[in-house]
Amino acid sequence: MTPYALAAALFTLGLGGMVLLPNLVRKLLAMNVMQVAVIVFFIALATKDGGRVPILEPGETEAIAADFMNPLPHTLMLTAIVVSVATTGLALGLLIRIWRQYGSLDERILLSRLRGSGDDATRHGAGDDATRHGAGEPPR
Amino acid sequence: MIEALAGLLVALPLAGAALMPMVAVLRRRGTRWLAFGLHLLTFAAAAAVFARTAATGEAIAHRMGGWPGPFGIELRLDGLSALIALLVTGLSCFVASAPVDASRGATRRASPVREGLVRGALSMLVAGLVGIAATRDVFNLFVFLEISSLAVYTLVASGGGRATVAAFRYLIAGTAAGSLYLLGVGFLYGLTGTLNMDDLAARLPGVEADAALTAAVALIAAGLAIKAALFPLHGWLPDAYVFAPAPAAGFISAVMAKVSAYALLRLLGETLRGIPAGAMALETMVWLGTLGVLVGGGMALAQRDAPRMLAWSSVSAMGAILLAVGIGSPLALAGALFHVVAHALAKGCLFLGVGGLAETLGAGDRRALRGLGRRAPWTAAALTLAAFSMIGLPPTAGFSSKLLLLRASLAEGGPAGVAAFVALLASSGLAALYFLRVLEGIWFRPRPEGRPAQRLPRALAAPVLSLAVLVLLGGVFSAVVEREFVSGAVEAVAGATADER
Repeated sequence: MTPYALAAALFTLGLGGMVLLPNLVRKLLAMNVMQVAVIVFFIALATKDGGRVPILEPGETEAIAADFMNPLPHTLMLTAIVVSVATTGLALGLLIRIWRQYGSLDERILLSRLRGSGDDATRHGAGDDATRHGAGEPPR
Repeated sequence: MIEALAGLLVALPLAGAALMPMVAVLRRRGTRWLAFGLHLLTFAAAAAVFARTAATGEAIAHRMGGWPGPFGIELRLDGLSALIALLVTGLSCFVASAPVDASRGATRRASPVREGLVRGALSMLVAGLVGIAATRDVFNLFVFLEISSLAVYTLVASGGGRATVAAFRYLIAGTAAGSLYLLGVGFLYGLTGTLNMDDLAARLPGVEADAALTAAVALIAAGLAIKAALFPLHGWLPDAYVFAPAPAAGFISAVMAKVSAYALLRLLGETLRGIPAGAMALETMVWLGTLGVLVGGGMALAQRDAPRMLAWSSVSAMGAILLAVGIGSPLALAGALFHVVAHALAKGCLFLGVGGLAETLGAGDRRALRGLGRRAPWTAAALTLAAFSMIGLPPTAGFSSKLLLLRASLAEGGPAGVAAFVALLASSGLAALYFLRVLEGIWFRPRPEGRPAQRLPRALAAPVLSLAVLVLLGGVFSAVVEREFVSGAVEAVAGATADER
């Protein structure tokens, strides 16, 4: 399998998983698979048959660029990995809060609560009911 | 000296993002004013840069780390970038002046940690958005895109409860968009060996137009279109806008999607314009934008909940902006940019006002706004002005921008131009229906029995009123806005594309 085919397969797998899987943790894992696919793609771009790591050997003074692998995609992907780590960290934090609040990570269950009307109590500490004024300012 | 400002525009809010949580823990009370001061300072820098580009017609460039042109990353603000930076930093001042939990009543103060994190996230969002506007490097644009996205997920999630779920869904959609874009950048880099926009524009005509190039354009366009909420990729927008807490929602709804629309204009309308796939992407954008205008308007009409109605009307507005970017004539770009400004001011005003009221009342139902005109005439008048601007009634900024868009689509002609013209007219009609329904309730209906009295916290009322004044001024002095603010930005794009031809 060429690295490009691998990247394509991982990307499709990840994108499909993000759209189709109902469990939010699985969605997040699929998202990571998709990000890895992009990294594989960039690294495959940089690879060169017979290419060396772009570091001069001790005593070596002259170098021809064609002998070396391209280091730029690697550095780009270092940044992309940092972005991916930050996103995953934030996503996990959100998942913990969702789990504590709803006791479920199933998108179908959560969506029905997200769209449901009148169930705003969790957000404001007070119901829609006009006789209670939990979080809002008291009426004047 | 002024070149340093281009770097400072990004560095200042980024430093603020790191500083804010620390300051908040030490001195919670001072944080609000520190944040306001910092945003004001950034705005002053943006204003200085804008004034300079407007006066000289030349871009202000800063080379990061002293590396020139295609090797290093260049931050460069021309008329267009400076306009976007001015808009972003200006609006952030309005939002930063309000307490974090302004809409939750004076009795509730944010804890120091919460205060610091929310203010830090807003600062980080500004840094990311200004960075997108300033950078000339396509990979750097990805990084800024993700910085702004991370900040915005945090801000949405700070609403708590259902907002957390909305934020997670936004995160998944946003990261998918970012990955699509990054993959497209990978294709472009593989084909041309460069990441610099000017360098790309110079090298791309020499690249054979094959499947790889088409894939690159399609991936970049799709990724940015998700972030810009182009129909049918707008799914993340309504929940994110509705569940974000009021002060932050005012800012997010005003600028978030629009800065991605700017990125689409920069890349598709400028860098990738010369190649067939780029032209095709622009044409598709006209049609999808037209559909988005209609679907957004129709969905807004169907909503019972006032903030959700506003969110769907944003889908409609993004359609209008993107269809004009797709048309790409100088007149259309002027319309798009004027609409960006007009819609940002009006939507910011409405989301701060209506969102703030909905949160204080604990209900988004538009009937909760009934009787507001008698109780708070100034707030009601401000919301009315902003709503007029959304419909496109004179003498507001929205009228002038809609007029430009209509003229541009007529001038374009052809089936796409006519469809856009009809859709834009229809969207004004739809907006009239759903906004007048709310306005009628505000001015002519009594407050429902047993409902708590509506009262917008003063910290939110001040930005709502000032934004409404700006909406009015933008309409009354539309010629000045067009000449001083928009024309320079249009020239920046048109000049670049004229060189190629």
